[in-house]
Amino acid sequence: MQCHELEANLTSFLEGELDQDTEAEALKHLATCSHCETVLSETRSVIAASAEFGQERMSQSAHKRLLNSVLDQLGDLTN
Amino acid sequence: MPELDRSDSRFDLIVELFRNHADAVYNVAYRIVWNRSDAEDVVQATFIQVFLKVDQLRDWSRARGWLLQIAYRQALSILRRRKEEPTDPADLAAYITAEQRTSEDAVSNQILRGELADTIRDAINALPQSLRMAIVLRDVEGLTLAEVADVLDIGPSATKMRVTRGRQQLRADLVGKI
Repeated sequence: MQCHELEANLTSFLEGELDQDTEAEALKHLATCSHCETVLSETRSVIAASAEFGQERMSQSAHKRLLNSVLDQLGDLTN
Repeated sequence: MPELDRSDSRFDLIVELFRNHADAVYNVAYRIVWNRSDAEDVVQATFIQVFLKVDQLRDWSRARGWLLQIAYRQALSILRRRKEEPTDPADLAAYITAEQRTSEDAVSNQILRGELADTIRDAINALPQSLRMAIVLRDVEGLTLAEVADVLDIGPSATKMRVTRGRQQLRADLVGKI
């Protein structure tokens, strides 16, 4: 496997979706290619950082206000 | 204020779904409409729709994907109705930054979540919309690739390509910063 093939298959590799032979080739390539090992490591860091810090969240007060508003509107709809 | 029919179990379901998924709905909506007020409108409209359609939800393990699909469509509908929305990605980035920097929430978020969180959030927000939504749904909200494909109404290959390209751009932007 070449570097560009590994990068093209990176998402499938991370999802565990590669077939056994292709995954074995990817692992073999990673064991000998520091560039791709770095790409994999950095991609994993980006995924973890997105999961931990990527949210745009409502404030607690907005959360409560919106739930009350939704329930009010549903009350109107069903009455 | 109208009284709720407490015998209607759909109200309990809505409260539970809201508590578990409203933040995710807001997160997706904000990344499309780019202001808190419209994102909050999307949250409300989404849960009204959920109430009306809850009988269609057969598999509760797929509730999050189903909700986010409704939210995504609601947000796009708001976007289509707006005439003044900047569409160029560079304009959008400036628009987002201005909106965030002037909001009280942004100030408190910055203090609470720190510079690193802002850096990551800004990098995600600067992605083109197609890549941004794929990253928000897969990596931020944790949907499977199949669920992301359902929400965005695109095929599995296109979904994988968007996630791959989004991660590549984030990596290029964030290397050395995280």
